[in-house]
Amino acid sequence: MKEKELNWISKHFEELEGYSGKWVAIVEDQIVATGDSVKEVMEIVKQKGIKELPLVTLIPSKDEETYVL
Amino acid sequence: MMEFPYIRKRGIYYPIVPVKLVHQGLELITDALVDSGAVVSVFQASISDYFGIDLFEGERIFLQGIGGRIAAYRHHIDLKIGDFSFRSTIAFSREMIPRVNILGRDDFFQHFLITFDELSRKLVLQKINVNI
Repeated sequence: MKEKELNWISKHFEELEGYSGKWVAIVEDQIVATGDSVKEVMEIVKQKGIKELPLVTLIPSKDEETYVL
Repeated sequence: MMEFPYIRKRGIYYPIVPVKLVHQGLELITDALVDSGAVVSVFQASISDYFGIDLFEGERIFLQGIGGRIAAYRHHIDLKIGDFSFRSTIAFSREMIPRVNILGRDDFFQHFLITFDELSRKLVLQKINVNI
């Protein structure tokens, strides 16, 4: 389940840097929607007629580096 | 047994897994950091908003982290990881500074034997076949 999308993120994270702080929906190796909320992103996915559930992820801000949680 | 390669972000590898959330007919697949240091699971409130969950109807708890304290609200929601579905408790918060979802110990770790394989950079989840 969505391992392909996570693998793509891992290999192409620099392509997501422009979306820092945004929610991004990914299907396979394509960014299919971006927005400020999950709801907004899923609305775009629905409007585009995409049937497959995307992986929806929040892109860290550029000042977020090493996590110690 | 499920294996998840660590995910690389800005040169650092993290044990992140895909997780499906199901609530009242809606589904969402997102990613979450598996964190043995977290007692509870904490997800972004934008996700509970998507499901139409009234955040404040949940039990309010305060979470103490390395950088301060935040309020979160506990809700019960169905999760699916790989082919395993289970009911879990997630605390949603609008105050998380790190832009991640966190799968913590409560209602998650007891379902699996979990291996953080740093050498191979992968997370291994082995389902425990016991009734909890």
